[in-house]
Parts: sequence; C-alpha cells; structure tokens
Amino acid sequence: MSTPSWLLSYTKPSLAAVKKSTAVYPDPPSFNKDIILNTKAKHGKEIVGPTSEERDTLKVKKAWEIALAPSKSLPMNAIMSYFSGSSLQIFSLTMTFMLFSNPAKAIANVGPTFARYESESTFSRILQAKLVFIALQLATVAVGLWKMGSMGVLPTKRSDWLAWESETPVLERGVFMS
Amino acid sequence: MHVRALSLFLALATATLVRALFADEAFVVDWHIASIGSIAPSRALVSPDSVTVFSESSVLASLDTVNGTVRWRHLLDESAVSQHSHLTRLDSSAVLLVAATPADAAITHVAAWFEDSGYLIWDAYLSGGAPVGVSVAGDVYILLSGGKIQRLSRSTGSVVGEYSLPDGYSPVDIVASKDSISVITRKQDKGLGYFVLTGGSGELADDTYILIDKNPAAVSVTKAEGYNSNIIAWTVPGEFMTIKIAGMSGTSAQPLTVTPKAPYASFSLTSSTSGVVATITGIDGKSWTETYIFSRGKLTLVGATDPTESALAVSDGTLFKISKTSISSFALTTTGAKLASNTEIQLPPSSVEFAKCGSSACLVGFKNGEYVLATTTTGVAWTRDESIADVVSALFVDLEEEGESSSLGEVLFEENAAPLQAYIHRVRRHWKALAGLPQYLIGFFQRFLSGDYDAVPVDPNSTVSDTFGFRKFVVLATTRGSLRALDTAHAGAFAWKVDDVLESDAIVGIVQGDAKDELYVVGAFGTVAYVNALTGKVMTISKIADFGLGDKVESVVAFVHDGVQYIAAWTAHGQLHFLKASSPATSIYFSKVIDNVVAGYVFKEDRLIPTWQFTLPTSYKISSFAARHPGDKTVSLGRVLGDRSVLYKYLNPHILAVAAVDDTTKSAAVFLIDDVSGRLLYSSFHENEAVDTAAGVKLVVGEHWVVYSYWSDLPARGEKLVVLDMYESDIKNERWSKDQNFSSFTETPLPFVQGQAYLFPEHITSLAVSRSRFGITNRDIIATLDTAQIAVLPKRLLDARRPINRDPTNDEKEEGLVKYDALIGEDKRFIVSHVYNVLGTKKTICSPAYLESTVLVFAYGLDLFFTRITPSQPFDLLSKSFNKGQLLLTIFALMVGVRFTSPIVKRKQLNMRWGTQK
Repeated sequence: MSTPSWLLSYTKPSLAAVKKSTAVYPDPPSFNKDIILNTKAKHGKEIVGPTSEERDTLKVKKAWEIALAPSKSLPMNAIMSYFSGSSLQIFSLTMTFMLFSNPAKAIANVGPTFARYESESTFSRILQAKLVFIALQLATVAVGLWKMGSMGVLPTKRSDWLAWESETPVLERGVFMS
Repeated sequence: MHVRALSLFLALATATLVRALFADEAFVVDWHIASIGSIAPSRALVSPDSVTVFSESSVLASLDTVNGTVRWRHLLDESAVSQHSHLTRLDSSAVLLVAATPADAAITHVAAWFEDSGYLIWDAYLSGGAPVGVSVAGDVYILLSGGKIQRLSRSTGSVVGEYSLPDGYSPVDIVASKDSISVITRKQDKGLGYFVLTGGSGELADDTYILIDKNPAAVSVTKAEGYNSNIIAWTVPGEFMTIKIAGMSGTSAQPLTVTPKAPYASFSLTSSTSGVVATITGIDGKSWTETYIFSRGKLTLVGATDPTESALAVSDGTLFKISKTSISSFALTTTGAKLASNTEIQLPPSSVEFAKCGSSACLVGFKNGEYVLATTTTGVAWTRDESIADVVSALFVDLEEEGESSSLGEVLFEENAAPLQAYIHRVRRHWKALAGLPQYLIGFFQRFLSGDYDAVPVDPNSTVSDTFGFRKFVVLATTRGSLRALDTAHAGAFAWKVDDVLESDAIVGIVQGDAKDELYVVGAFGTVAYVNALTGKVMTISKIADFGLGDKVESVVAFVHDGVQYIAAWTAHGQLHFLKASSPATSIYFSKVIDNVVAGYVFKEDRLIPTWQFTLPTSYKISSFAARHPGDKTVSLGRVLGDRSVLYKYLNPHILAVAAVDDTTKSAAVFLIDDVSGRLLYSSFHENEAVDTAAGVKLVVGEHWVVYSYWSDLPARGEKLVVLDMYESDIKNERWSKDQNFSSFTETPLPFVQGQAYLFPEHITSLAVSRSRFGITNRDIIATLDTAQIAVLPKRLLDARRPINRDPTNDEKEEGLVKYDALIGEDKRFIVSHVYNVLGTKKTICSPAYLESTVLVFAYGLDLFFTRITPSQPFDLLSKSFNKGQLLLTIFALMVGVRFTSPIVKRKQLNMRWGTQK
C-alpha cells in the first residue's frame, strides 16, 4: 500500500508546496515574466559578474580596511588617556579597562572578523591584514599599559616590591635591663 | 595652682570642641580613678563634715565623710616628708598647710585653705628652713629649722612678728596657747629646754630659757596642748619604763616621771580637761591608755584601760577602740574610761596601721593601703583603696577568649580517649552546652538587631574577654607589696586583690610568663611568686636559689630567645638570676644603666662577662633611657616616598636611647647606642637652651625613630619635642642590609638620621608610644601633661621629613607630608582625657586590642586613667552611629521590590519577543 497523498502533503509539506508553487500557481497580476528574464534583450548587453580575481582584490581591500580601523581610534585613545589624568577615578578606570578588554576581544575574534574575506586564494594576503590588525590592537594595549603606568598601578618601582622583601636576620640577642 | 584650676576650667569649657574622641564615646570607652595617695595620721584632720589630708603624694585633699569621694584636691609641689610638712586646723572652716618646697628646702610655704571649697585663703613664703613646728593660738607660729620663729596673722597671713633663737640652740617644736608660747629647743651641753616667747624684742634671750632635762640625749618629744598648761613629754633612750612629762609654764618647769605599767614601744600624749592621756603601745604590740591628772605638783594615775590588740585613738577626751569587728568609744573621765557606744563593723582583713579620730568618726589606715572611715553611730561609712596611687609596675593581662577555658581540656580528653568514651563525652559536653543556647540566641539577636557588640555586656565576674579584646585586666604592683587587678571594661573595678604577695618583701617588678595567666612577681630580696593573673591566686612562692646575702634585685625582665621564655633578675651585686627556665645555652648580650654608666655584658657559658661601658661626657647625668618595646612589630621595611621609591628604615633591634642632662650648663643630650656592642650610633646635644634639668628628658623609641622632649627657656620657652628618624641610607632605594645577616659587631654604616624639633606649650611628664596588634596602624605618641591631661599626638605629625619654609611638592604631598610648623598643640583634639583631671600620672602603658585599629592605653602614677585610641581611625569597626536597622530595612525593601518587579519584567520581555508590544 502506498502512502496516501494527504499524509505526504502533511509530512513533506515543503516539497509539495514548492512544486505546486512553481508548477501550478499563476504569476501574480501585472507580473511580466519577460521583462525580468529578458534583461539582455532589453538593454542589449549581457551583465557579466566580477571575475574571481577582482572579487579577491575587493575582499583583500575590505580586509585591509578592517585591519587598519584600530589605527584611527588609537590617537584618540592615547589623547584621552593622557588628558584623563593619573588619578584613580571611575572614568579613567573604565577607560583603561576598555583599552585592554576591547583589543582582547578583537584579537580573540580575529578569525570570524576576517572570515568573510577569506578564501584559499587570498589566504596569505588576508593573513598579513590579520597580523597588522593584531599589531594595532596590541598597540592599543600598549596605550593601556602606559596609562596604567601613569596611574601607578604597574609594579615598576622599588616600593611595589617592598612587601616581599624580608627582614635582615639579626645574629646577636640583646636584652636591655631597664 | 591657679594655672591648674584655669586649665581645668578651659578643658571643661572646650569639652564640646573635642574631636579626638566622639562625644558618645566619652565616659564609655574611658575611665578615671582619682586618688590622693597614702595618708599619714599626723597630717589627717577628721571632722564631722570632711576628712582633710595632706598625703604622702603631696596631695592636699578633702574627702566626703558620707561616701568617701574626693570633694576637692590639689597636687602641690610641697614636700610630703613628714618632718617638713604640717597640717593643722586654722579655725573651724579652714586648714593650714605648712610645708617645705622641695625645689628649695630652705623655703617654707604656708597656705590656708577653705575646708569646704578647697579655695586658697592666703599664703606666704618664708625663708629660713623647713618647718619644724607649727602652732595656732590667736596667731600662727611657725618654727623653722634655721632657728627662726615666724608669727603670722591668722586672717591674712602677713608676718606679724619674727624671732630668732640664739646660736647653739636647735629647734625642736613650738607650743602656743592663749597665755604663752613656748619654743622647745635642744642644746648640746644644756639638754632639753624651752624659751618662753614674750614678744616684742625679736630676739630670744637666755633669761627666758627654762631647762627641763639635762640629759642631752633626750629624744622623741611629744607635745600636747590644751590642758591647764602646755605639756611636753620625752623619753630617755634605753629606759622603756619611764616617760618624762613636764608642764610648761612661764617661770619654771617641773619634770615628772610617768611609769607605764609595762615596757612601751611607742606612746602618744593628748591632754584634755580631764587630764593627760597617754596612749601607749607596749613592746608586745598591745595598746592601752593611762590617764593622769596634775595634783599638787605630781601626776596621779586615775585610770588605765586593759591592754588590747585593738587600735586605740584619743580625741577630745574620748577614747576610740577599733577592733576588726567593732568600734567603741569611751568617755575618759577623772575616774577612768566609761563605755559610751559600741557599734559592730566589718573591717578589711589587713592589719591596722593607725587610727585617727575626730569627735565621732575614726579614719583607720591599713597596712595594704586601704582607708576606712568608721563612725560610732553607723559603722563603716566608706573604704578607699589608696594603694593604687603608689604603683611600682603595671601590665596588661589578656583574658581568655570565650569558651576557651571550659572546652580546651575537654577537647584534649576527647582526642586521647577511646572512641566510644570520647563520643559519649562529646555528646554529654554538647548536651551541657545546650543549656547556654537560649542565652546565646538572645545575645545573637540582640547583637544582630542593634549592630552593637556592647549590647551583650560581659559578666564582670567572668575572666572572659569581649569580642574585640577591649576587656583586659591591668595588674598593678604597689609599693605596699600588694597586687591589684583592674577590669578595663568595668570602669576599673577591682577584679581581684592580693595583699602582701611576697610575704613582706617589696615588689620590684611583675612580668608575664608564657601563658596569659602566668604572672611572676619578683621582690627585692629574691622572693618570687607565681600568681594566676586571672584569679589572683598565689600558686607558688619561692626564693631565688643562691641569692647573695644582702643583695637586692634591681630589675626584672622577660624575654624570648630561641623560642624559650626567660625571666631574668638583675641584682645590686651585678648578679643575673634566671627565674624560670635554666640559663640559656647560647650567648645573650645584656645591658644595664648602672650609676651614670651604661654597661654591657655577655652571658656565655653560665657566666656574665662585662664587655663594654658607655660613659657620658663629664658633668652629664643620665636622666632617662628607653629601648624599643619587644612586642612592637614592623610591617614595612622602608618608607615609601612620593615618587614610589623607598627609604629603608634603620631597624637595628639593639638601639638603646639614653638621655642625659648637665645641671651646670643647663643642657641636655641624647645618645643612641647599640646595646650589644656599645657603639655610639648618634648623639645630639642641646646646649645654650637653658634646659630644665630637674624635669629631665622624656624619651620613647619606636620602630626606627626616637622621640624625646625636654623643657627649656631658650630660644622659646616651652617643651621641645624632638623626633629623630633613622634610615639605612639617605640614598633612595639603597639597602645595604639586603641579603646579609645583621651583626652589631661588624662595621655597618651608621644610620642616616633626620631630625626635627617642635614646640609644645605644656610641660610633658612622660612619653609613650602606641602599639597595635600587627603594627599596621599608625603610631601615636602618648604624652602625660602636668596640666592633668593626657595628650595623643600622631607620629605622622612628628615627622622629620616635613618641608621647612615651603609648601610641600606634589611628591611630598603624596607622601603625606605637611609644611613644617614649629608649634604643635593648642589643639584640644589631642587631649583624650577630655574633662577628667588626671593628676600626677608618671607612666603610660599600651596594649593592643584584638582589632588592629585599636590600642588600649593606661596611665598611672597618682591617678589611674584608661582609654582606647585609634591612631588610624576605627577602620575595622562600625561606629556607634551606624544605622544597622536602616541598612536591614533597605535590603528588605529591595528584596520586596525585586520580588514584585521581576515577573513584570519577565512578562514584558516575553511580549517583546512575540512582538505583541512595541
């Protein structure tokens, strides 16, 4: 016994619908199939899509644009860091935090960011862009480090290690009889 | 005097401005006990309204007869030596104090004081020696040791007349009555006699001299005023059965001999309308009285009481007899003593030293320093313990933590017992502990709701500490050989008292043993008592083995070496005795100030070998010395500067600071010595400053600094506070001691010392430094002032790095430095004793609480004062004003809010996803 058609139409509704839509249903009113399909005939010229090289160049160009984007915000970050002062305030602290968190996020997402432009043929060129992108993000981190340094939260001075210094052992035991 | 009264007034007037401690903490965290000092019977006046005394601590005070509180008191400069001070009644409302001033014993200060108010009526300074005798009859007659008699007006104190004794007569006493004034004198070849003062001439002539006893060795003269004529009595050495008595008249004296019924040890004489009463104490310690009347040139015995162990005192013809259980009064008549009243009383167990009686009340002094006022009508009116005014040594004793004492032994038992037994034991223990659960829960909720740990007070009878360690005992060792423990959490109430701990040996020092409750009391003659510090129970008492004959313990110190605690006693013969553990195996370097020399010793192979001596420049005398407290902790090895570089502290644990003064040039000097090698590390001299050498130099040593103070008149009059900060090097980040062992015997670089001096307007009598639990909290300098106040100065203020004559740079600001200002003080915020009049404190001790922020401070001397200070603010304790209720309410309100809003938000988000809501 073969499967009844009503069961098929319920279990495989899409197939049936697609088939029906193309085959059975008429075009909507005022839809002129000829105009849409025969553009060549109308314009007298064949539309040719971009070649794969062109496509790749475009992709690489786009990738480079993304890779160099951080360089635009870098001077602004640096200037803001400089002018926000070295005091420990909520504004400068958040800003400093951003200087670390954003590059970290960007570096972590470097694959997905460039995935759209990646293909086997552009791999090496995209890799360059990626490296530049990472380098620029690291430059942002460097600004953050400089900011932290100016805020005095980097253990760069002697006093930062004072707590780890141990007392000088004393050899003699002296007792003063008051 | 006026200055003191004025300063007290100022302190009261500015009490509201005090910010050093919050108003709600005053009288809560601190307490004060006002003392007057030991009372001598010869300088105590007992009247129905008051007991006026001039104590051995030079305090003139009036005590209330009803409750024994101090009505008024003055700490005077006058000598309290009994031969040089006399307190007598001027009239019914005033007393007269005649005493030598100690600064110059040739000057006598005479002052009349209102008995009710303590106000001065008049006073006068007399030159010519210390007062030998004082008598008031119409005018005031004062016999001075230089042989002068001054006659002062009773109402104004102005000198009315002046007489002087001829050469060769030494003054003994003066007896004045309405009719005649007799000056009793002694002359080497003429014996005992008296001049009769007729007035006018100003010079006493030989013809007014009346000889009464040719025996030149006559001693111990007693006078009595009031009977028909003045009477004196004297004794002859070696004759224990005769007392010689003479009535002094203007023309002649007839010495009479009284023969007591038993050999006497001491006697006193009073005279009344009924006759002469001799109160005699026999050589067996029993006392009795004998009443005599003059009849036909003879003394006739008319009555005698039975010898008794009780204390006897005679006042105005009434005999008071005080035993441990009763006070009785007898009327002394010409026919003998007649019982007038008898009241049952309960006296302290200590033995009676004296009884001084007024018309109906007796002041009874006890050997342990307690004083009782007993009246014939109501019995014991009050008891005052004045032994705490004469403290030899004091220390803080930590109490047990809650549950510590009860459970520790039991837990140990459970760890070692068989499993089943241990299990049963534990169940039983927990069952027993359940009994305390309701109490615990109540306490927990009280604390939880109020946010106040004082909400559940600590039981005063327990020996358990409170949550924050504010409750400790202060154990005082007194000059009378007794111990007193005061409870810091209960206004200094006595936790326990022990009298005569060392069995009539004088206490030299008390030190703490390994355990909290171990207390070692060391006496001058080598007696050592081991006392439980929590209960006061004397556990063992022993003598130091091989203690030299005639030797005396001079100082006692406890220290820990290689994990073992030692207690060492130093004796006058230069012996070192180890009291607790056996003597240490490795070498220990001892140092001691002996007769103006600092001497160093090494204790090696059971022998004490002298090593070095530090002698002062000639004419300098050691004024004071100090070393760092062994419990003082260092957290940071260096000082962080504004540019985050480090100046390393000079943390030599062997620093001994010695201050010396030179009386002739009025200069002072401070030496910093390494007390192991004797090496001089630093010295500073203050010459041409007119230093008050009598007041001396006050010193305190902190972790890497020394603060000292002295009073000087030049260049500006005031107390100079000098701070010396010691660093390893003046070069930043340089630490030569790194990765090395520090030895005093190697030529290590001398410390780089920075110093600054400040001017403080009041006289400082002692200095101390606060000590917190971990040493993180800043340190405060605690100064006792002679304005009867306690001041607390932050060490940050006394900083030798403060920039002078310029504003601090940014780096210096970062470091916390403020511009140098020579004058500190005039800031009442420094005064932690607020309105208390803390008289005569000489020393301050500190102890950390459990909280790092808080230090317990106890000052003693005459008065006792206790408070808590927080040098870096109470950063680990919520303030009393913290509103815990509001906080809880806010949290509750937020919880309710979240409970209601969260479904609303959820619904909204769902609707947004379905697109049913824009």
